[in-house]
Amino acid sequence: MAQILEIFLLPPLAIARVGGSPTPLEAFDWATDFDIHGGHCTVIEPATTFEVLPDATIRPYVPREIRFRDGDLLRPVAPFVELWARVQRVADDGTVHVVEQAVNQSLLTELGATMASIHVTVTVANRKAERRTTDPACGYTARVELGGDDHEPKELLGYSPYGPGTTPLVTRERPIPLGRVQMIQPSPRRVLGVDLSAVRLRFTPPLGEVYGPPTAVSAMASTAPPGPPQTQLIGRLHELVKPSNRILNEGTPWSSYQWNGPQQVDPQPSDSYDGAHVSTIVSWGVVDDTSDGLIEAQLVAGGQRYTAVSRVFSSCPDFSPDRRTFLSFADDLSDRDDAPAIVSADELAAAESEVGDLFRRVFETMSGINLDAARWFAINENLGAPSQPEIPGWPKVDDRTMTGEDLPYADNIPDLLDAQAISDVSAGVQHDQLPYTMAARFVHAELTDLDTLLAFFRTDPERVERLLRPPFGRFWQLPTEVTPEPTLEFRDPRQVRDTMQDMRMPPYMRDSDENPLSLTWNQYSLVMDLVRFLAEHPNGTPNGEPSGPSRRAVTSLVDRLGVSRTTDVNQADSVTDQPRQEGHG
Amino acid sequence: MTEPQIVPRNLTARMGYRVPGNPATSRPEDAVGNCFPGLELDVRNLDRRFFPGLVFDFVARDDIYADYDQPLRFGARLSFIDVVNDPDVQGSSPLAVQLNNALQGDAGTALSIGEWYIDWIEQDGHRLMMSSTAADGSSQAFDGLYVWRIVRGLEPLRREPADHDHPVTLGMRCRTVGSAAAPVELVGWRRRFTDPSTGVISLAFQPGEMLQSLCSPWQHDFRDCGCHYWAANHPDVVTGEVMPGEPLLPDGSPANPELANTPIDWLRADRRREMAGAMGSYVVLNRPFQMDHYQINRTWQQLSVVIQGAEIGAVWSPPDDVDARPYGSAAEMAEVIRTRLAPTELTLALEYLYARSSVVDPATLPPDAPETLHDDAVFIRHFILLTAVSEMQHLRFANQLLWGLFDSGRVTDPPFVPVLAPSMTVPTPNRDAPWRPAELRPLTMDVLDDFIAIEHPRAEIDHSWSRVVATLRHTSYPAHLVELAERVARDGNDHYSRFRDIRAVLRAAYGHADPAPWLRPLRVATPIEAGDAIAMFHVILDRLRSAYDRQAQGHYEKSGPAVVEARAAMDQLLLASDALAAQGLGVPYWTSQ
Repeated sequence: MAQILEIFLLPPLAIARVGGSPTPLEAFDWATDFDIHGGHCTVIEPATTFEVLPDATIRPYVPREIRFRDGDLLRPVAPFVELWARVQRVADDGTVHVVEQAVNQSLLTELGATMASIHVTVTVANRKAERRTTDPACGYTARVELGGDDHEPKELLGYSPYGPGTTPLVTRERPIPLGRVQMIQPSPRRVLGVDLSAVRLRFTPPLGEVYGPPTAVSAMASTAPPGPPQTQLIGRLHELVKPSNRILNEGTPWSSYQWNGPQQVDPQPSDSYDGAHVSTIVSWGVVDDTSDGLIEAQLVAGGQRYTAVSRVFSSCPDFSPDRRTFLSFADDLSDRDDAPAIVSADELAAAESEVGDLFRRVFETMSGINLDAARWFAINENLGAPSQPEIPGWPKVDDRTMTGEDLPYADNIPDLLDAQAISDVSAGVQHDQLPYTMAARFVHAELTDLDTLLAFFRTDPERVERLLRPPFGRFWQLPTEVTPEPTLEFRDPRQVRDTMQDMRMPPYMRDSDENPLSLTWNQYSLVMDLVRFLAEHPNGTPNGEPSGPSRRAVTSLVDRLGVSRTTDVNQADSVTDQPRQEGHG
Repeated sequence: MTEPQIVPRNLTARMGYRVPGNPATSRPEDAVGNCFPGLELDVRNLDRRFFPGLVFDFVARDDIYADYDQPLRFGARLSFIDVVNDPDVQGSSPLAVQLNNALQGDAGTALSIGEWYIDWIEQDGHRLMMSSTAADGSSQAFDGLYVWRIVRGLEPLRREPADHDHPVTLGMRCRTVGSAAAPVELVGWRRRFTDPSTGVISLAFQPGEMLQSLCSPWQHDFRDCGCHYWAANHPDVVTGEVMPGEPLLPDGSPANPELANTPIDWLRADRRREMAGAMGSYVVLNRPFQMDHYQINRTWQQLSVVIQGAEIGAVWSPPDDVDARPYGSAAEMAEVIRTRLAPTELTLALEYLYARSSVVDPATLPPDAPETLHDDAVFIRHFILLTAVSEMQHLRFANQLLWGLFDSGRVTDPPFVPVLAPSMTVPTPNRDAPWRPAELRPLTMDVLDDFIAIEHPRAEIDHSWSRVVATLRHTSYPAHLVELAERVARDGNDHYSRFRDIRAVLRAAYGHADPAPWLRPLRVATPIEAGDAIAMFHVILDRLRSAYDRQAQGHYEKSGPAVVEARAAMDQLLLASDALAAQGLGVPYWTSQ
């Protein structure tokens, strides 16, 4: 007899991505390209995909290719969410087993429950205008409830709550569609290793539409680079909101909002709405159909009610799906709640693998960046900082950054640039417009190979430490009083120099407080701990484990094959070659 | 392909689960964690509720270097007290009960009237003020994002028995003008944002809170990302789409060198292929041709999906791999690497460096030089330098393969000795004469054609490296060695494409001009004439030999000085080479000439 201890939804957090096509994006995983010329890059690999059929059952298949758009419309990312349970069972011999398993028809039957014993509530909201105006009537929420045996798609129609005397931005009569949710019809089969009888639902995001009041017809957009608003109406005319979407009430605070007003508590950056950059900087009252919210599930079995929650974000597309960020939401959450990993002899391989993956992600991110433009932007942003005396031994913050005068930080980039002049503008020429971008890709491509990366760490640990920008200090690291000079150990938000851009890695990117980006504290700690560990154990770990995947693999292979350096050639070559399990692409 | 690249080490097991049917882009690993304000969410919204029961707004200047024009407004301002909806305050721990009582008692009453800000924070006996004291003794409140950063560094509540709970004490002060409210102290903790077992973000956060500070509409931020920091999901610079039927190189890049090597602006408004000009090196150059605010509200779906750095159309198909025949034995492969590939990589590096020195110095062009010559010379010199350095990397990889094979026992004889002698012959595509003598030659069009032929994807070098990859894929070889060979194979495609790009540029600008305007007179210097450069060259070889020897024995730390010295010598060699070239002399890297 099964006894439920807990139910839960997987994934605990899903990111849906808007798209105008009615067909959702097929599934794919990130994988490593093992093709001969693949260079071990991260690629996407088609994965088991579910087609939802008219009867709400699913048909699993693995696509041969990934279609990203139909006609002009991008396919949305519409994640599935599964219901799971932690279940206790007692065997005939009295042994107690606790397992985590998907809630499926078999388990429901075992519990004396049915799909009707399941109830799901989905609530999503968009509070962007509410946050800025502080008027709840400028937010909008959608909520649907559905039973486990209700397999019709349910539209999430958002509208604004309001009270007497207030004007809702979005009315119930003219709501904003925020997506839809559908319970999948279980079927008693297993296909492609997938249990089709499991309880799952699908969240489908909206189309990515923009809405506004009737006045949001067309406007002149400034073509000036990001910066202070342009007080004159100079620019190009564009339609703001298509006629069918001009459905919002215009008599709300959102249609008269201006950023940075007296006593306002705007989020930063506050010039982040349509209308912020030109003329009177009054909002056009435009909103979108993205949202975030909760999926809540209930299961009643044996007279007991069990509940589970998952979060869903309905967000923008990822236009570069095979490029991973080196600082993801998962990294941020881990940095907040987890202690940093400790590099030890027992965990050395895991630490090396994690750092290797981090540097691959660094390459994947930086290979899409216009580093020349980012450098220009950073140098000019530094000009706005309060005057700071140059600190000997610190990286340059002016147009000497990442040039031959920025030693010892820029010790190989200048050579690869082939004599760049000292300027904020890189000396791009026809056919070679982005010299910094190209040189940086060249440098980082090499570090995507773990052995090469570890060789770099072990060969010149001081350079690694010098090149990596330290994160801002944890609370306990920050001194009570700001020290006269900053330290290279960690950064302090109260130190002006620590808020200025320089070429330390990652260069010229912004963190969440507009300051120069660093790795998270945990990531930085892991990298530096690994660098120090390798320096302290040049001949491998205290327990005899060699460092680095190649040397570990070599040692393992020698053990496995029972060969030694004295083995003769014929004997060594007589080992039967077996294809690797994973094969290749 | 291999296992998906999710590193679950710091995630809960449940967060690491791969849900069938979902693309990788639905995972939190795909969402960008640095926000200003962000793409998928603004992580700073988590910290609004860092202290259970309270919700703050971090009120900041509109720019980090703006004036403190409203000093009373900046800082962490209490937005509201939320006891009812915050499950953490409903807990039964003594601290939760104490906090709940305080918030529903006198402290909560006091905090409900007026404008309250965090005055100081204390954790583990360490107190930080949220203001600074000026020289005249006056207090100046910190910018809200300073406070956010300090809050972000607080230690969270930890539940493991071995850890402390790190209680947090907040000192709250009312800034309402004329208020006589006494300061309030609250003892609580820094919330854990995710449940340690379920991975679910705290239910204190209501629907809509995580996105509330993002741009409205989100397309606004896609347009105005002036600081280039979300390239993983919002690329800045890409290459153009390969149309169906257009030829590809084995690495999937287009055979058309202009298409392969021209970086274009992903955000450009005119999406026609014919109008995709090269992206500029600073914002002002690119802005006029990008999508505008408002326009992007309608056109965002025209932005291209980008795979492997290149725009694609509607569909992405996994590329077909090329076939290669493994070598018959490890010894045969090692012999090829030792006697052919490694020496040839060094020879090519030197041939390329020599050819580069024959290209005119863009800084000393005569006034009557062709108008395009300056830019072309910069372009050619830069990319030949990158290619030569890449060949030196390949030389290192070849040596690393050799010592890896020897270490693993797959090859035992001869023992590993660093290969640092150039090959005196180089493969050619000519069946009747498959090898030619290594030559130090100026970059004439014929020589450029020769370089292209050498780097051709179906030429001898690529073929041999492909066979090395095919051989090393087998389980009897250390797994990571194959990565080195794959890197070389991929780079070869890039070299081929770059040389073809150079040829296209020169042909378009100068046709069959004779003498070639991009060349300067150059002959191979005698060893005496090039004494300094030759000395540097020998230093490089000597230091690399030392470094490889030590690294082969696992003594990377001891190889550090040799690597640094080799790099310094390479810098000096480049300078010496340029100085000689200005006198019409090229470095005699080998003495047969």
